[in-house]
Amino acid sequence: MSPARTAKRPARTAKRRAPAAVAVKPVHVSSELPAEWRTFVGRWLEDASCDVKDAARGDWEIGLSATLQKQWRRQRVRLVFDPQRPTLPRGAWFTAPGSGAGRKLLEVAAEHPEFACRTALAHVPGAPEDGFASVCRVRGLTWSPPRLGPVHYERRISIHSVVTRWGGLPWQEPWVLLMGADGRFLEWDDGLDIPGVRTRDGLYQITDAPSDEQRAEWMAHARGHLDRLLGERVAEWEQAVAAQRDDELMRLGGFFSSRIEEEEERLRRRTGSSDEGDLEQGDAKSLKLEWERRTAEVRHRWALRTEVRLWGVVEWSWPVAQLEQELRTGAVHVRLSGPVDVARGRPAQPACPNCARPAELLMRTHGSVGCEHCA
Amino acid sequence: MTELMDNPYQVGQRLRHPQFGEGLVVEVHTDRGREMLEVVFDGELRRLSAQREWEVVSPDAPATDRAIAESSSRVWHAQSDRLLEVWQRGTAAPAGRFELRAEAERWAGWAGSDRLVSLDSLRGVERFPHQIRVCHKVMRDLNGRAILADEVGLGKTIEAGIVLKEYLLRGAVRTVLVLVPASLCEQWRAELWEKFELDFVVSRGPAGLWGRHPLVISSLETARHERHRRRVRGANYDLVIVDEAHRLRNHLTLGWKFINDLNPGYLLLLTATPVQNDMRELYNLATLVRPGTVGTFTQFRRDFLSGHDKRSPRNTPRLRVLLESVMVRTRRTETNLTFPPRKVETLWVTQTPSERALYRQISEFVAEAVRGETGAPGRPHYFTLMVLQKEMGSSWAAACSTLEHLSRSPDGLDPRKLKPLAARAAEVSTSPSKVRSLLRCLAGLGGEKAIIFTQFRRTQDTLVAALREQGIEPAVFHGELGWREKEEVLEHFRTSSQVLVSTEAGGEGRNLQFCRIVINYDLPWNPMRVEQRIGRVHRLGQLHPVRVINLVARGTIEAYVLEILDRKIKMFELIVGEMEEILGAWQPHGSFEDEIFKRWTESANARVRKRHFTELGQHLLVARRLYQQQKDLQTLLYPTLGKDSE
Repeated sequence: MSPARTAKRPARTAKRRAPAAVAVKPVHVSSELPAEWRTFVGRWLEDASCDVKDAARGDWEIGLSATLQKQWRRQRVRLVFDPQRPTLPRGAWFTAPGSGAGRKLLEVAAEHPEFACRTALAHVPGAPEDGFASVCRVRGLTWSPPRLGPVHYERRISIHSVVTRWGGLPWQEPWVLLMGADGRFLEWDDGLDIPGVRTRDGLYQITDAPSDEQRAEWMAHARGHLDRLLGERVAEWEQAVAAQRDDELMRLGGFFSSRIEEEEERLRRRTGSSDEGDLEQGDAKSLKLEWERRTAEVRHRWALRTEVRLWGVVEWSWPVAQLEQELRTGAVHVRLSGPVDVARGRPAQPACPNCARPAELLMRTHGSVGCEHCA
Repeated sequence: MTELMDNPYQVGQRLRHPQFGEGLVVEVHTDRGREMLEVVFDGELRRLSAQREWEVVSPDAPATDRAIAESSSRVWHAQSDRLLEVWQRGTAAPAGRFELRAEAERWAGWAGSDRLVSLDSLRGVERFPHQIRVCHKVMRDLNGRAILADEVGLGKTIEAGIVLKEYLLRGAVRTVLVLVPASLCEQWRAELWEKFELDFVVSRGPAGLWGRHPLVISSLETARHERHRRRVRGANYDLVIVDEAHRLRNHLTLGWKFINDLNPGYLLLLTATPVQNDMRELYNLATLVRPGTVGTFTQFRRDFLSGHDKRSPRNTPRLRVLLESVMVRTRRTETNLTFPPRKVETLWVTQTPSERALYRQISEFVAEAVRGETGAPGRPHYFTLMVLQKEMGSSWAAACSTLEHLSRSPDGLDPRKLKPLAARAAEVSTSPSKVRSLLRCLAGLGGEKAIIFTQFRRTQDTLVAALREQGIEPAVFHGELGWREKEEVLEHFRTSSQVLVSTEAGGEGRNLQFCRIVINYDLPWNPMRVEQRIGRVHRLGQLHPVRVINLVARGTIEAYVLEILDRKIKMFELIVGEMEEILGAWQPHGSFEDEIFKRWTESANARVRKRHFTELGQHLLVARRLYQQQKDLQTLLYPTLGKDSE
């Protein structure tokens, strides 16, 4: 057949439509990195005296600082942030929080513990308009207007840590602990920083520097507080994993004891059953040993281990003041006073005039004023 | 085994012995009238008198007591001591540094189990809600021991990779062994590196790399081999992943016994078909992951099998509940994964009489050589002859090159026949009818982008030259390009070129969804290759109906292959991955390509050939039915995680 003739004849095509699998709708989970990650990397690199330059396709070309050059054994590195890029330029690092390069960077960023001095800025107003009424209820009594004393600054210490738990799915929590200057426990939060406080770097209000001994003492106090808190947390964790672990152990126990029983029964009968191939393999003794081996493995897998890493300490100058307020009912006038955390504009509960315990509710008792315990 | 009523000890209790430490009571019985205990202490079975009072370690001890016991495993990180030194030095960090340090902790840490840290580290991976739910379920509820039994094409490998990376990042796992079919070792290694940045090594050779590298890939056959078995056990892998885990369905096989003996802390079995012929297979896999989930086999048979029918389960709702603690399965219908339809067209190429005659002559030559000694399977020319046969289905230029090569070094083949065949092939290759058909086809696309696949570089060159003659400047992609060139070619295709001419290396793993037309200039005999080609554009993210155009000449081997794949088993209607399952069911008969070639060369005439290929079609049809039955059975049996909410 000549080419000309072929060209004239239309090509025969057998068209057939396969059934549509499903309608078209893209549903994949976004794979973009959070924008804050890039900002963090940039800030950290600049802080580490690196030279950050934009490169093609949103990459960064980094001239490393002398310290990082030594540590990473290279002078420059190209950082790629696009998780959808199928291939990387030679020697480039894909930088994401969980990637090899990301981890490398974070390892250096979190290598050294940090100490800072900060001032907690005063909240405006320093105390609520209704004074103690915001934290202490009254029955049959009336609060008079509050009077806030002069604000002064006291030293507080916050210890920043990360608690890791192994056993089950490994778990990590950032903890922050706030102590008074005398080492007493003030508050705890499972975050990286103390919540609800605006800060300013620098210890402007307290002039005297604490001694090394005092700092060591605070650290010992902090460890004591963390130990206690951790004890409580571990008990919670233990409860959470115990059900799963015990269930697994019980199932394992039931399985092996039944298998041992079946095996012994089989030996007793000593018959060549046609179902022989279906029976489990192994004699009773090896089953007993295997049971113990597997039990040990399950217990090991669920065993709780914890690690506390203290990575930061802040010496705070913290604004506090005394709040005075009168409680009245008929002829009874009782003056109450207590500290106010001016940084958050939050008074502490006033002390009960009778027992001096922090009172949540005050009422008339035997011609005087007392808390519900005294009543 | 008798449990004594007046005995305070029970099987399963833990005792503390002053000399041997803590042990597990595995049996309580009477021996010549004396009550005895059998207790395992640190791998040793000992007999103790039940008359004595042993300290029982109560499993019901209050949580707080246990917590106190555990508190001994509390550790203060070395950084805690350094903090005091830094503090006592008294130099406060400059403004902003402390916030930066806190932020580093935020990015480095993992809070709780809600956030998967590993997700941020994946590169070039599309993530889907069902995969993330599976990973959560595996890690939170199944504690890292599970059968991942998603339907094909839903990303079991990605799920396993996420779980693996998550455990590594969280420090739960340090050593990992991935067991895959030998042919997939390299593919797994490459994927784990490219997508998860995990630097695995493939353990091969007599020495192996067991225990010398924390992340190892191996074939199950190698790892379980007598030479390696003990060293693999000694390496104490924290996590073991077994791909194609249906190979462990039989508890009498070495593979099953090996994994059972290995018993790692975390174990992931990947298979879309946990049951094929016998419910015992399901029992075996579940027992491997978590012994006792479905009881002993006697109990399992009593509770869940109907009579002697090994394939029919009963009491399935209860079985499904039990399986929930060892298995996760996502069905395609439960996801919002969506694919546009495929439109398959066959463009029948009309060969010229000289082309037809040459095809027949070369085919006869090939068949004769294969039947003779020099070209028989296992002989040096067998593979070359098979390639020659394939090249004829691709282009005369490709066939001509092989014929010329053979005529120069015939090595047992008849050079007197080869030389004229090579000369005629060179002659017809100057104006091939297939190229003309392709050009007509392209002209009818109205400028729409298309990928033309071919198996051979020589064919690719011919096509590129023909396209340039027509004024079409194609993008040309093949495996010999460097990574930068490959990127540039694909970018060129994406931005300016209408046509990409690619070999099989065609952008595997690359996103080419911006194009929706695939032209198979030649048809690979291996259906998996065809599927991979189509998969380059017919994948998640493709928003338009995909058009597949197959160029085939009547009477050629490719026409028979197409007949089987398209008409018989309706391959083009299958979901990605299903063809592999069907071929897996058929696999015992050998490689599909070999089978095609064998049937072609063994057929004396067209009638016999037709019969041979019809038979092959029937075999595959049976395999497809078998696959469908298995799929139905899995649907009936397995627990699922429910539908995507989005």
